Amino acid sequence: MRIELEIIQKIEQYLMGQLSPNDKANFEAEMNQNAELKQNVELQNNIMQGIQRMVLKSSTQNAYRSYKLQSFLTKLIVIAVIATGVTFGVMKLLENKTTTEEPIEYQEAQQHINFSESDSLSADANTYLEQEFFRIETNHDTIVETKDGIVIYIPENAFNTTEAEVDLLLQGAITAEDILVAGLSTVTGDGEELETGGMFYIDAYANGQRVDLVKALTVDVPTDEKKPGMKLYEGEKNQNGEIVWNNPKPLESFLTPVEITSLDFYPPNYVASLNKMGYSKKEFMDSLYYSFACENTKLNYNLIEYEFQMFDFNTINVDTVGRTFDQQNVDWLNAQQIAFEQWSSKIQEGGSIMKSYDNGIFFRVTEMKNSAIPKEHKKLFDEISDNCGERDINDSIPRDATMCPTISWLISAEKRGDGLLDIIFTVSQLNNSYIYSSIRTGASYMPTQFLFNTVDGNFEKVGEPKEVGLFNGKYEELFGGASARYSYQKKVKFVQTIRPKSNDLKIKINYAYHICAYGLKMLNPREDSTVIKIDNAISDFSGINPASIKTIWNTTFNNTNLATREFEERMPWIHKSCNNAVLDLYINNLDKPLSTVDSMALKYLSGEVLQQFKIFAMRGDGRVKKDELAAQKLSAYYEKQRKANAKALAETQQNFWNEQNQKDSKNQKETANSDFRSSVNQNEIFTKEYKKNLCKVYNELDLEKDCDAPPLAPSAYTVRVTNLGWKNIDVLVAEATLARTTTTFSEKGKTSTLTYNPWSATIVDFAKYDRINVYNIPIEFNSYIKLPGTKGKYEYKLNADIAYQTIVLAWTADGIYFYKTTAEQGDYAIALKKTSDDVWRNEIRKSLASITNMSTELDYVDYAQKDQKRINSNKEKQNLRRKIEPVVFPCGGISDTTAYESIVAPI
Amino acid sequence: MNENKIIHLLQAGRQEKAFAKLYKYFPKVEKHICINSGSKEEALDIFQDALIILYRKALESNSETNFSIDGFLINTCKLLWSNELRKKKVRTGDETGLDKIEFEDEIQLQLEKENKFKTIENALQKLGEKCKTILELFYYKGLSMDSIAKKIGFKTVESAKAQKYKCLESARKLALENQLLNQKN
Repeated sequence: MRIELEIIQKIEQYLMGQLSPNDKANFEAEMNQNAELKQNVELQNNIMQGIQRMVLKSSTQNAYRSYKLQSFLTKLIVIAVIATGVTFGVMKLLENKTTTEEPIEYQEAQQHINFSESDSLSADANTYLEQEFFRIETNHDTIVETKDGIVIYIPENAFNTTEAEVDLLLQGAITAEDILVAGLSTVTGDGEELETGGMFYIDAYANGQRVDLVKALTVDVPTDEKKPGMKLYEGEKNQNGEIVWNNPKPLESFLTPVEITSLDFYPPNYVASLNKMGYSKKEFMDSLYYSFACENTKLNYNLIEYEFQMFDFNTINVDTVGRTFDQQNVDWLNAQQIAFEQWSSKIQEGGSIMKSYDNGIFFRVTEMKNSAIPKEHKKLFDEISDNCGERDINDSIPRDATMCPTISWLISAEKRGDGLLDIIFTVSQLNNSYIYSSIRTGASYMPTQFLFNTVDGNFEKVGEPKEVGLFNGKYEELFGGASARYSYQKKVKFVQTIRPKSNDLKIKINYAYHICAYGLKMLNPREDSTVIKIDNAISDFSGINPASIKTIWNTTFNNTNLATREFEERMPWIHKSCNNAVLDLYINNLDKPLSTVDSMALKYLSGEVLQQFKIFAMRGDGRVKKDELAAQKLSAYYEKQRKANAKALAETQQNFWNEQNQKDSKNQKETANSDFRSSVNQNEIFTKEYKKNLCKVYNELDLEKDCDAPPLAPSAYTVRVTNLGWKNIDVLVAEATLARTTTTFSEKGKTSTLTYNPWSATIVDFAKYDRINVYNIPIEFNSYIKLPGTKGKYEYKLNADIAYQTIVLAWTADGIYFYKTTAEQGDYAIALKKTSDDVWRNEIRKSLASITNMSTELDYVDYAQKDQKRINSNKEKQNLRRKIEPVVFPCGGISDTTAYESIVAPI
Repeated sequence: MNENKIIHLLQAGRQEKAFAKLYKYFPKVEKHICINSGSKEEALDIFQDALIILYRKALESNSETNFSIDGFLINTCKLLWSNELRKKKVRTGDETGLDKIEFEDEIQLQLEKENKFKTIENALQKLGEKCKTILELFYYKGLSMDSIAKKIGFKTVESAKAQKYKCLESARKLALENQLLNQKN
């Protein structure tokens, strides 16, 4: 044996007096020396006592069991005879219309009643049972307890009397002995045998007269363990003066309310999911959850709406850049090609008239490459794109299909609340172009407008079609060099909401679109139609409206069924039921026991949830004691308040996002303006650089040509050149300038070289910035260009005869990062530095004050940086909402786009 | 049932029967405790503790001692409950009608002794069922290790004995843990 165990053994022997006198003396001596041993002995002694006590305690508990009703005795005698039903008996007083037949001998002093045989309530049994009286005051709630442990809750004014005091008589037959002595039977009126949980008699007198009950009393009968299925029977006297049991009612168990705000009504996993994402503040979790509230159990999508209007041939035309021009000068219906200057002079920006160009606009719609476009549409595009892909006399640059925009459409449907369905048209346009400019690629124009003109079928339109989203992509360089290509993508979404009237839906959609073609060629609006099929079109919002939860989850509903652990247990399952009607049942039936409401809810449920509610219903959970009037008032309050909450919550969301949308729209306009300025600059720089190059070449070749004459704009060299000579030089210089390629010119033994050197910059840690703007500034032209770039890499060709400055402005929500250098041939790795306040601005102003539009651009950067925080936080908000939405609405709420896209064939 | 008979039952180790009879005083105690901000469960607990104290008192007294069982029992309950209330700090004043309690000193003395055992008992409740049974049979019922071994199904007395000491050892651990816990609190 281990040494520890040996010590224990020794101590035990000592304590039990099993040591020899000698050993005992030794042990005691050792104990006096060794304090630890002494403690151990004491501990072990205590343990022995504790073991004894353990036995005693269980004796007391066993004794309690035998003392209580369901004792050996009861079972032996009563159950021997009885088997089927189960009862708590109450000798009838409730609702009994008693007209006192003859005066009852009621001796208040003695506190005893001698019932007459003809008394309508009392029976033989009453004479054998002890009478217990309680004098209660009727003007307040009272609780009394009998000797047998029966507890009775008596609400104020429970009796039909004006007397201030009522004597309550109680006779209990709880023990088997009492039941036998009283000669009470346990047989129902139908002769069924019952197992009893105890019987009691209640009677009441005011001023010596029996009084009726006008309110229900609540009686707790003591029991050791609750048996399921116990019912309350009313006892009625038969001719023989015996009691028979009738009119069974289920027993009620009352619930204990707790502080409602300490409960958890969130959808299952909501808190856990947020905690995992690092959110744990209750206020935040509340406000996020409630932000999903919707009116009429319908979700409001946070679709980003832009102030973006499509071309409309009857009214003012507005493009995404925000420049407006009216259509009066344009014969839209018969427009072929409208010279740029005809409308460009009307472009207003910042209150000033923009300079016009002598170019046309390069804007083409070409053959659709997307195979999803059916033939009949192809015909249309053939018609308008006849120029695309062919070399035109006015166009020196060969056209090919890759330069032409590709347009593709997708139709999908999303379920909304209240049985609504959103039909969504997504149009995307992909431009591949040889030049980086929003104007030249026509990227500012979405050439399509849908008019959901006629829809037929078994549904109705709800509201007008709306544009709900616009995606403006970034320019991406596909490949550089002389034949550089840039890609630009944009997308627009239209939504028409409809209310389907049948599940199997066929929708014919007529739509019209305008196409803005080469040189602002606007064609007639085209009309066409398509038919889409949707299965399972009707569906209601499925989910619990957070507005409902907000309405009940506060102290107003304290002391109700809702403020109980039992209801809290149901909440996750109510969420899983995805049916607000289930929640509403519990709220509208605060006066009913939870188990009753569980049963009522069953018809709404199915599957696992149905099984769970059956279990709840079986549990027989009761209710919180509360009078009916108060319950009704609360239900009414819920109805009203839920609507108000839903409206307020939805409006808050709506207002917030509307405001954000306006700000987004502004940001987008400003950004487009910035792009626009750069493209204007690019044109100006081209013009000036071309002139400079031309002068240089003329000079070096000793050509006596006036390079100061208005230089040819790019369109000029689209004139087909048939004769050699200076013109040829002009064209070559123009091409070299446009393509930014080193070119050598020779004339009569002389040569002149235009040198273009490669320059590139890589921004260190580019991914950490929200936006990077790289400006190259040919100082002598007092202008700048914003360079396109991808993944922090920017390239340019520097004209060796021109001095350039590079400025990089990048930003995050936290501030502006700045870099400035002289640009020379080579590869730069640029590490940006954060600047505070307006340092960057002053830096730039100091040396580049003369640059046209620079300060406008800097204002833009300042604005955009300051707006970034807002944008990022919205992005974060929306991301979070997207992530948590499946938790908030476990059944998917209202939208399930993917299910439909597969059904709807794209046109 | 007269009081002497109850005391006889207690002394004869037939306490369960005696306790069952004594429960007739329980409703009174329950009422007292419920009126004084206690629950039914608490009342039952107090009453059962009081039964144990009565048991010890009965064992100490010689057969001739005559004392009022109901008075002793009910007063023990009252005293226990007032201690409990003081622990809970529900009330500072004494509203439990404790100004003059018969046997107060004697009961207090028992309570103090009992408290120590009660704490140990609570700790021992965590023991495994088998251990509990062995220890109960040995220390309370006084069965020999031989018969315990047979009853529980040990092959040899030695292994039963070893098991008993191991149980005792874990009982000690539990008791010590409990002590530490109480010191902390």
